[in-house]
Amino acid sequence: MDTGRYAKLFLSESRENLSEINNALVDLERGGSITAIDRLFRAVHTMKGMGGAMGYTSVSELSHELETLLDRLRTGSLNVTAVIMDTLFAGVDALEVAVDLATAATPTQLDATEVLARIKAASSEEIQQTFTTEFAIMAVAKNEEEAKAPVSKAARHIRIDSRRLDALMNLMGELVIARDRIAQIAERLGDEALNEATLRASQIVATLQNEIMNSRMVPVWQVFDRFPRVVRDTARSLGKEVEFKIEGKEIELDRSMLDEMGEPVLHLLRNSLDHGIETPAERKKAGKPPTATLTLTAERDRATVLIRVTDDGRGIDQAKVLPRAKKLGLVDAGTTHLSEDEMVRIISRPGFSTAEKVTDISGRGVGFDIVANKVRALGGSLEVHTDSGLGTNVSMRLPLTLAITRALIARVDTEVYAIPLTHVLETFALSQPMLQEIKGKEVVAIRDDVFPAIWLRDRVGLPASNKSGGQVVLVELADRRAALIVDEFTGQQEIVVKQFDGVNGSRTLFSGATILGDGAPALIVDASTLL
Amino acid sequence: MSSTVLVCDDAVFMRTMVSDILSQAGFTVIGEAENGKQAVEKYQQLKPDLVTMDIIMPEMGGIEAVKQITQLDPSARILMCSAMGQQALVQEALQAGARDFVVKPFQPSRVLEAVQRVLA
Repeated sequence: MDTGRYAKLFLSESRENLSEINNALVDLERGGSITAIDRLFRAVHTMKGMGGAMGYTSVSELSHELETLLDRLRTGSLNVTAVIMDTLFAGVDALEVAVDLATAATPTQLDATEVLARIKAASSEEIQQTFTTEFAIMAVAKNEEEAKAPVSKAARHIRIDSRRLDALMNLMGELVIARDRIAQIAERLGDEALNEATLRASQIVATLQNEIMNSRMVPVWQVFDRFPRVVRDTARSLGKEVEFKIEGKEIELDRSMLDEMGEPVLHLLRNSLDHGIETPAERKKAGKPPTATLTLTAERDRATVLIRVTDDGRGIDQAKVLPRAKKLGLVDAGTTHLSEDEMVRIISRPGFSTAEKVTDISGRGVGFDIVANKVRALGGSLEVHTDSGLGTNVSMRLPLTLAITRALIARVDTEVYAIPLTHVLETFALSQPMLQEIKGKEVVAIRDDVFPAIWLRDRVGLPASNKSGGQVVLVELADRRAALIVDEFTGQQEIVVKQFDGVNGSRTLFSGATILGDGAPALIVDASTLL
Repeated sequence: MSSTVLVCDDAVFMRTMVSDILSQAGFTVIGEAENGKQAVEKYQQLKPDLVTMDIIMPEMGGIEAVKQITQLDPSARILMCSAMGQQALVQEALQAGARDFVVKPFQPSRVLEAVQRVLA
């Protein structure tokens, strides 16, 4: 059979099944019931069928042996022990590798002889005689299963290649631009019938845009589901005991955003496990329960999503941050104490964790600054709270999508710029008395606050004429603020972001470009680079 | 008019494969179901000439689905799709009213032979 055309389908469905398998394994290890074994059995069984159909022998053999072992666990002729758990984890790891190898550009078969032998050996073990407890477990499990009978999923789903959705989104962007141009022309012509028709078309376009946006929304569990296994493995290798909770799995994000946010979230979880959470012995000494709690939460807040990583570990460690901050010259050599704010600012500094790696104090530094950078690049913001001895809480606020954003349209001389509202705190007109000088630096004073003044015309290299008036945009990133001065605002609108394919890692004043209603291009100012 | 088929399997991959084999041979796949419960519902709605039925599925397995469908319609024609090593389950399905079975991985010719037998 021509299996080539099924390879893609095989891979995507295998990934789903493997993710389900890993989650069920983690549940089972944490004392999960027969339900977890049933879930495992079904998913492994599906893998076996698909692997067989594709002729991927290593996949079907591994699944077959795992299925045999699981069947014995399911029927209760074998008990779940630590050895069995390890064997299952090893088998599933091998299965993942087998899938990757079989579907690689040059397909190969995994040599799984060793793992296969291990699983077979485990399956042929004699049962330990513990009938009484076993019956108890089975009875409980049955009730549990009845109690949480799965809610029947609405079955009206079809699969669409995500590139199709991207293409739709792009076309939608062009349509919005075209609509704005027509609206402008209609306004100029002043024909009432034309205006009315344009208005109607505009409403439909807006609805259509909404629908397309919604069709691209995917629940965060698609990314979160791979974390329980990673957390378990990391905690284990570090000798730490962690109870990992996920809340708000069903919250939805645009796929473009979802694809990008997995990595920073993983960084944060690793950070907590590595630096925040103590070993059971350390925790006992500090009077805490030996098992730490690590929570990952997603929450929708208007047009943004809040992702929170909370742990009850030791907090950010003064003793580690202070010496390195001194070494890098970030604080005075005589400093003895850093406030929470100061510490957060220091660890978010680009390059801080690189220094950490060089000095090799913590072994495997996963950079907080990397996360901060990534979140900034996504148009989001990061907030950190740490309580010495009690834990750390990191909140990541992300826009729902990368493709469309509301922006302020500003003019400097004859040039037009778009300033995304993500970082805009407020705007006001500039009057001469507001401009002051403190310690030789130009600032804008309003009410009782003072902000560093940034002239957009200076930054983009326009002549420094007539610096007396204009409009001020107060931009904010985390707790830093600045007053960005432009000539005039020409409006506020939704812009379709065309990202620059800039050199990786380099940051410029502009994050992308857009086309405005009149067909003119405008550069998008990345407010975060100003701060 | 070509015979109509309802394809039931929890894996999209398998449904696609069976649907392809059958459509290429001139059958009309009028519906797909991802578990036994859906299969029973869709059977009533669509009244297909034939159902292909996986055995191990979430929510409701294939054997229970066979029992419910044959109760609704004793003349229902159901073809079981089983994996290797499920002889006992296949037996149970046949007793419950399934007409025949094929074993995964599928050979298109085997599937078509079995389908012809069931529809004959």
